[in-house]
Order: sequence, then structure tokens, then C-alpha cells
Amino acid sequence: MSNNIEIRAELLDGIKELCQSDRGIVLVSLCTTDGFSIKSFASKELSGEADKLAAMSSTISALSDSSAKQVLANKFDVTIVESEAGNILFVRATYLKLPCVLTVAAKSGLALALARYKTKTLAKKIGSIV
Amino acid sequence: MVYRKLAIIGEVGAGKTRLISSMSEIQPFETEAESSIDIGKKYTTVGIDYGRISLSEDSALGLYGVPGQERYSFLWELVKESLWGLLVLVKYGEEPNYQNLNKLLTFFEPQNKEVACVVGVTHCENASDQDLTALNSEIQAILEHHKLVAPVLYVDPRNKESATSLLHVINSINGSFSA
Ligand SMILES: Nc1nc2c(ncn2[C@@H]2O[C@H](COP(=O)(O)OP(=O)(O)O)[C@@H](O)[C@H]2O)c(=O)[nH]1
Ligand SMILES: [Mg+2]
Repeated sequence: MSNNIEIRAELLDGIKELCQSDRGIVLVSLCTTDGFSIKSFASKELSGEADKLAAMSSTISALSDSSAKQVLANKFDVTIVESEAGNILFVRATYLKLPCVLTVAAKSGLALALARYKTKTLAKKIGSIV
Repeated sequence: MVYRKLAIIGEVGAGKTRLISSMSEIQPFETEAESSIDIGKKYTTVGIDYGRISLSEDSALGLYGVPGQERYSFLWELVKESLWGLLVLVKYGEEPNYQNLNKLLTFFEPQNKEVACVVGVTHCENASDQDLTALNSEIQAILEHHKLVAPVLYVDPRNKESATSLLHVINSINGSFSA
């Protein structure tokens, strides 16, 4: 089973722009909330198992959503995994009206606040593609 | 407090999520996402289904359902250890995905860990005896391939009594292990 989601030029441009904006960004991946990869870019040093990453992103987004609903009675927007080596951001997004998760990994050289801002900006851009 | 763990595995649509919600005493913790492909239902599990049943005053059973698709094997990892029982659900009606079933059994290896294992055939309320017998012998062949002895039972996950009866079977297998 696989997905046949159209890859728009605007999507590719947006992802490319983010990747090129800072060398600290090592991964940008968009997947559906049910865990199918739509498009993913990873720097060569990362092992590129796009389908597994998409599955993990969907799990994290579902767990984040459950927690946010339980505790805050609201949907989740961003989940951040911090480590000494860097940060992974999971941001709720939509693409062609499909509920999605945008996952971005940035090395610690890139400040978290900036990575978060850049990721949310891309999520907004992707959401405007209809 | 003794805490036991039951893992529920099987392919998409087999009835894992439903079974846990039928059996659990607490409001189950579910992680469903709207499906973006046609899998015959609107929602699919992308995380863990968790429910709980108290067995006696000082023991409880945790119910853990995980997605069957291999890309979610990092979740299989989470529930694999120290199991009290393993419940494998197989959906009747369409050709079962034997490759997937093999992967799951290879991963969970109940025969090597001496974990009580039961196979539950679901969606079979309108099946003929003949068709069920045919499915049963195919399942037996797979179990034999894994050198696994496990009863094959028919179950309706929507029905609490039917679902709970599987627990009694697992319980009695565990009784004979320790005897
Ligand atoms: N008719 C029938 N429907 C069932 C049976 N078991 C599960 N279902 C339904 O099948 C659908 C899929 O079940 P679900 O628990 O989501 O499957 P999962 O993917 O294994 O978690 C739900 O609508 C269930 O109510 C069964 O034995 N008979
Ligand atoms: Mg499910």
C-alpha cells in the first residue's frame, strides 16, 4: 500500500529554501498523520529510512495530540525533542487539505528558537498550497 | 500489585483497537489518525492502544495494541518484553497477509520466550464452517512453521464476553506452563 499524493513545485521549493537557509538543518520531512512519507530530504550523514521516519512522526503527533487534548483541551502545534547534538521539531501542518506532520532536524549550532521559527514558517507556507 | 502485560497484534482492520475498548475498564488511550488511503475504514492506529483490566485485588492486566505495519516495528519493540500473553488477531474474509503474520511471529517469538499465545479469528460471524476450516488449516501451517502451539479461536472484538473469553484461554495456558 502506498500513497499517491501530488508533489507540487511550491512544496519542493519551500523545502529546498529551508534546507539552504542554514547548514545546521539536516532533515526536512513531510508526512501524513497516518504515517506515509510525502517528501523527505536528509543530509547524507543521516540514514534515510523515510518510511520509518514518517511512521515515527505520525506516532509522535498522535501522542502529542492526545496529551494536548487531555491536559490542555486543545490540539498540539509543535513537539520538540531536544538533545545535545541538536533538536527535532514536529509541527502540525496541512498539505492539499490533508492533515500532515512536518519534521525538521537541526544541529545544535542552529538556535532552537530560530529553527522553530523557520519550521513554523515552512508549515504555514505548505498549508497555503491548495 | 502484580502487573501483567498482554500484547495484541495483527494486521490493519483485524479488530485490535475495538477489542481493547471492549475489554478495558478504563477509557482506553487511543492514538488514531484519519487514514489517507483506502483501508476499508476511516481511522487507523498510529501509536499504542492501551487499556487495563483488574484481575484481582492485587493484580491487573495491561492491554497493549500496536499497529501491524512493519514501519511501526519500533512500537513492537516497546511491548515485546515480559509478556503474560500474546494475542494474534487474523481477519477473516480477505486473504490474510501471511507475510505480515510471519514477520510479527518472527519478531515476537512467543515460542522461544514461553509466552502463551492465542490466535483470534475476527470478522467471521457470517463465515461458513467450511471456509473457517480452510482458514484454520492455513493458520496452523504458519504456526507449525514457527514451531508454535497456539489455539485458534473465533472471536468478535465488539462483544465483551467474546473478547474476554480469550483471556481465560491464555490464563489456562499459563496455568499449564507453571504446573
Ligand atoms: N463485523 C465485524 N466487525 C468487526 C469485528 N472486529 C472488528 N470489527 C470492526 O472492524 C473495524 C476495524 O477494527 P479496528 O479495531 O479499528 O481494527 P485494528 O486496525 O486492528 O485496530 C471496526 O469498525 C470494528 O468495529 C468482527 O468480528 N466482526
Ligand atoms: Mg487499531
